[in-house]
Amino acid sequence: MARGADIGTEMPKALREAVQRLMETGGFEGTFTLARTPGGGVDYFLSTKEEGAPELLPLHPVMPNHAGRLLREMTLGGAMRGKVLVITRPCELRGFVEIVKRLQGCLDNLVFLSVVCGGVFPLSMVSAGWDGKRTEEYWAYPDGRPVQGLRPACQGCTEFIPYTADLVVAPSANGHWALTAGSEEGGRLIERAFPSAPAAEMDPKALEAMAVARKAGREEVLSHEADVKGLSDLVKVFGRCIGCHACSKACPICYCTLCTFESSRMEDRMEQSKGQLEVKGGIRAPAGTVLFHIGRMGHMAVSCVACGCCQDVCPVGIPVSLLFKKVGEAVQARFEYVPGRDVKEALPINTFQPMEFKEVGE
Amino acid sequence: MTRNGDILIIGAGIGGIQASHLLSKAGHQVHLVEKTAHIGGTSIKFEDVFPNLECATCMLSPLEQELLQDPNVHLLTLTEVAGLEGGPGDFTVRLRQRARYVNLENCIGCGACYDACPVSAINEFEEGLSQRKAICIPCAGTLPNVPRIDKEVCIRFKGQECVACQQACMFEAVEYGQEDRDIELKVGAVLVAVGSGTMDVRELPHLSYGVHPGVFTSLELERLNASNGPTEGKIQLRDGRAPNRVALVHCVGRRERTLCSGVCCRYLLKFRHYLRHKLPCAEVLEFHGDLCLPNKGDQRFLGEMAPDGEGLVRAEVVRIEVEGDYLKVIHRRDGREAIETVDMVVLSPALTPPKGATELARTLGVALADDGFFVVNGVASSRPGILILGGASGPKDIRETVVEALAAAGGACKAVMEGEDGK
Amino acid sequence: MNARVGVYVCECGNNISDQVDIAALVPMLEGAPGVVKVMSHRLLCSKEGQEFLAEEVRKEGLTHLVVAACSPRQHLPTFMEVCKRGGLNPYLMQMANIREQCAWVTSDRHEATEKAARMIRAAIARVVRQAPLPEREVEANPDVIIIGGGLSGTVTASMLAGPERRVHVVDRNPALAVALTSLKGVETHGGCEVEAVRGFFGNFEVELASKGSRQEVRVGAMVVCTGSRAMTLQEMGYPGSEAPHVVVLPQDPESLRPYLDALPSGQPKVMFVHCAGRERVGYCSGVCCLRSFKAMRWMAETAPNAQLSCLHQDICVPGRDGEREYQGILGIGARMTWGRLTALAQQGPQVTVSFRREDGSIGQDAADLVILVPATVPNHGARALIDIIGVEAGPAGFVEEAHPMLEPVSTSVKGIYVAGSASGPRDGRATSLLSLAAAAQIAAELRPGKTLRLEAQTSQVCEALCTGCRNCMTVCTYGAIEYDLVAQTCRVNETICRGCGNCVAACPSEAISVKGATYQQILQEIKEAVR
Repeated sequence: MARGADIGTEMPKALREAVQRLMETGGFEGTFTLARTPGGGVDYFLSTKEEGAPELLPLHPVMPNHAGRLLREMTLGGAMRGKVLVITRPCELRGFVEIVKRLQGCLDNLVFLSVVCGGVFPLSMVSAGWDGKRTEEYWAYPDGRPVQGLRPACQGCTEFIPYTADLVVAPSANGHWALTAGSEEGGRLIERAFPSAPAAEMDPKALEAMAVARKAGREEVLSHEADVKGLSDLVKVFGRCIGCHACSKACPICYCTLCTFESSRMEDRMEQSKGQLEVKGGIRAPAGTVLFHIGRMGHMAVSCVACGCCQDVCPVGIPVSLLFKKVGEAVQARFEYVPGRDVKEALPINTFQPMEFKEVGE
Repeated sequence: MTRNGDILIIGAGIGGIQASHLLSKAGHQVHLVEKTAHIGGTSIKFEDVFPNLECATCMLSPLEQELLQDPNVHLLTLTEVAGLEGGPGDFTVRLRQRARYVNLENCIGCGACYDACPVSAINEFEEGLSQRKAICIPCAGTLPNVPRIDKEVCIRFKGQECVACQQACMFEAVEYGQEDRDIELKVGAVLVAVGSGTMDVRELPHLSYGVHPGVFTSLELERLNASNGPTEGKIQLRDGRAPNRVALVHCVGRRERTLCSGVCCRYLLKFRHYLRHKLPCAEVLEFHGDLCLPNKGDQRFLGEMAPDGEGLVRAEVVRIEVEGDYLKVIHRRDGREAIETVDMVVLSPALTPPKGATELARTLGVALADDGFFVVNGVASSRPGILILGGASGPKDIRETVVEALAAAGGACKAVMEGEDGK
Repeated sequence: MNARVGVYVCECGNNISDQVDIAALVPMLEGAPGVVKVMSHRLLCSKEGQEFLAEEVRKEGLTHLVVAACSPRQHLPTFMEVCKRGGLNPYLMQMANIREQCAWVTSDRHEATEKAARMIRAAIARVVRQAPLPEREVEANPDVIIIGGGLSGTVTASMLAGPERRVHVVDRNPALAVALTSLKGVETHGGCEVEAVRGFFGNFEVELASKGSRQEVRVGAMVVCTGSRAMTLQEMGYPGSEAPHVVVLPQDPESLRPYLDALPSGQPKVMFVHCAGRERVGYCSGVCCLRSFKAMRWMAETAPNAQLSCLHQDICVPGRDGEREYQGILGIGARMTWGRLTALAQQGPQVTVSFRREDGSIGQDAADLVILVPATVPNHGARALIDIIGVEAGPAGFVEEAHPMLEPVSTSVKGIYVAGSASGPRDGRATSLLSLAAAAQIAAELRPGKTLRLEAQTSQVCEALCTGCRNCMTVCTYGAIEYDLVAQTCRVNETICRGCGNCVAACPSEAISVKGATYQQILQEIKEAVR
């Protein structure tokens, strides 16, 4: 691991100060991070050093929007004009990398600061009013004790270390936090921002402890709500769907300008389903609610970063994220693929290898 | 003085065809002269071409078709150059066109006349591996899709009263009254695209070609493998049996001619593909010296055709002996002689100057080198306004031939233009 | 407007009528939707037949035409011409191939007649869904930009420049050869690099940048003449290659003179090592054996007391002079050893050369001077340029030809050509020939004062169905598809599109179709055929 700087123990204040220093010394035109909304809530902002900039809340433990999705919209037409410090969680970074592979965004000019992630709380908790003390308690997560009330996706997340961030906020020894470099660019930024700070490194013991806790958490969350076997179970769980498509709106991978399920193709569905009607004697309206999820799964399971946003926004409490995580992990394992690990890694569904899945062909 | 922008191209192989296309696009009238009755040259004898194993017919036939429909290209088949006078921008060329005895306009190429013809003769296009009629096209798919009557074998031209083909034709296309004719053309430049020949392997008696029916040349194997060839693509011995063990012999005539032909290694590797595909059980041994793989994709091709060097034997073939139905390939490997017994041998003869190069050079007034190929500087011959491309100036593969065809076409335009300037 | 479809069945002499019952076929087609006339003819492609057909189109006021005859490969252009003569858009004509695909291959006469009827009905169903397509042309700029001012750039420029065509030559090197700068009609841009390219064949805008300044050049075509270079010792990566008595064979053997002067007296050993770097690059450069032999001959003449040896792999000397040169080297007594170089080491005054024989065994030799004959690789900066202009490159980084044999100077982008060793290692002769070829091709395809004919059957994107996934952009080899940031959908640039249909296959939303082969047309055609 490259050089890192000790930033102390007082999170999140230490983090805010570190970001300040990076902004001052790193030659950035702006920063993209969570910040306080005028109404007192939290959301992502692209802010400059100008006056009137919102109060930055980097890595505040909620995910009001998936940053990958927002960055996609901002870079769809090409690279960001100036250098921007982007502060996101690992799954957000991975989601963005996946979408860049799909030619829907651009990584150029973006410098990423991410974190050895402790997960985030559900949005419902934010809307119920945020207790400031919770933040302080939250940042104690490296000791391996599970933080209460995290989103199910986060409780079972084993990909909590970012792959391609330039800078990584990581637990260091003795309860300290370190800003470590994940790339050469990151190393230079740290040298410039913290020339005299004591050197510090990621604490492998803390990572170990977190990994153990998360593995247990993963077993736990997948064995309950996501204990779905076969089509009949899927139909039952997705049967709750009201067709609002909020999950696909929140998803960092679902990017189609026009989803087939929202296109005019669906309008004459009754006409198309005449045969089904004859056979079954009845079809459900709205049509395609279950098919929507299965179709979406087919399109994006291989890239699912299990961020949990879909489940967070589901009004009827379908464990969308856990189901997608379960299927996604299985599909990804078949291709030895980790979504968002490396932008140069080709998308398995767009790549044909003559020898793959021979056993299926035979 | 007004200069002539028309161009004469001698030889309608791949080089002549590509040069014609380019010159036509550039606005020149092209007179494309071909000795035989069909276009396409040697390339149309191949089933696949290296290194991408592309189907040669699929690659060439659209080009040929386009050529036949091009109003700027005047194709003269069965035609040879008899004389040439003048200089760049103002050549007068005399051509001798032999009669086809079939009307090109009326014939639709249905082939009804072949069945009717009572004559049988050796098919030279198929390397003598099959028989043809006196009225015929060389093989299915050759263009123009119009037969000709071979006067040498047709019994009518030997005095018998046969009208079988004329009666079989629904379109009154057979015209026994046609005569050979002399044509005179004015052209601004001349392109020579007559290709190469191949060495007659009978010159090397120790290889037993012509002695044992199991010995083939590479062109013979090409035709055996061709789906429009004499066996419809079955690779077999002359008695119809499938070979079990095949020896591919590299560098035949290399030493005698002091010449590496540069294409044989790659086409012999391609034969591995043919054999693997058609005779999956046959064992293939490739006796090679230096492997000549000069293009950027060739190393990959070697890896695909002979993975892990399978079947490659670095050895010099000393002689091939006949032993009953079998052939003993006596070869020297690491200084010691060894023997492999096979039932089929494929020889890769060196490429030679084209047949009739001496006469053509004399007619055109251009120089030949000691090795029998045309003297060139780039694509320029020794006489201004005459350009040489492709195999006529040394062994070339298809890519090199096409490059030279384009370059020579450009040179011809320039020669004509400089004529216009009055230089 | 109601469709008025005319169906004309060619008997092709007896070629079709022998096997297909024409008298029975004609009534089977009458009454098909839109059909106003069905007729047979003895030979439609004959002069008389063509005139008849053109007249029928006019007389009957046909809106669509079906010609049931031979393969469109043979006579599509013929009948498209007939349409034009009859005043019908040629894309409103459909051929049904009832000769090759029916009469010649179906043995039962009754079945053949039935099959012909199906094929023709399918053609009718397809043609009535066809829209007229205009023949399109675009004005073209005859000027050309050549990237690289070396041998290939100079030859190409000298062939192309003229009173009607301006040639720009760009090179990173500020000082360009006099041979170039003194050429009439050539504008040189020394010390410049290509920054960006917009547009398409006939109308490119090329942005050039040099230190501190930018400029835009408008041209009709581009030629990549970036050349190649010898691999360096570092790139070859042989252990011990930094030894002082190891040198890479220079272009001109004369440059070796200082090394010769430094050789010990007596009978110094000089070793040429072929295929240096070949394993790394993964190909044989094809030109180096001959270069090496020429250098060896020079060495034998210049330093007659030197003992020459050669560590080589397969000797690659195709063509007229190679083998003679090779035999000449054997004649002067050079010691030839087959081996792959593995390592070098300076030991005292000599260099020890380790190599692997073909059987895997290791050999060693020592020499006072080791000359490595290097692999040829693409020039510095070629990769970046390839990315900017968007042409395809092979694994080794050389520009890939549009077709390795038939289009050796064209690239994957129409209007961008490649010459010289930018597309692979070449010797001087091949470089010049490729440059002449590229110049000739451009002169023919981009003629001053002529417009360019565009493809009529281009693909089109239905915006209402496009999801903006950009899959089509990744498969389009012509760079004809753009992303519309406002609509967030893809759009076909019909000036560039060649109608190959790759994008149609790649589109997951069925949003793209090729004009003249839409989903509806094909679906209805198939439905009729299998009804």
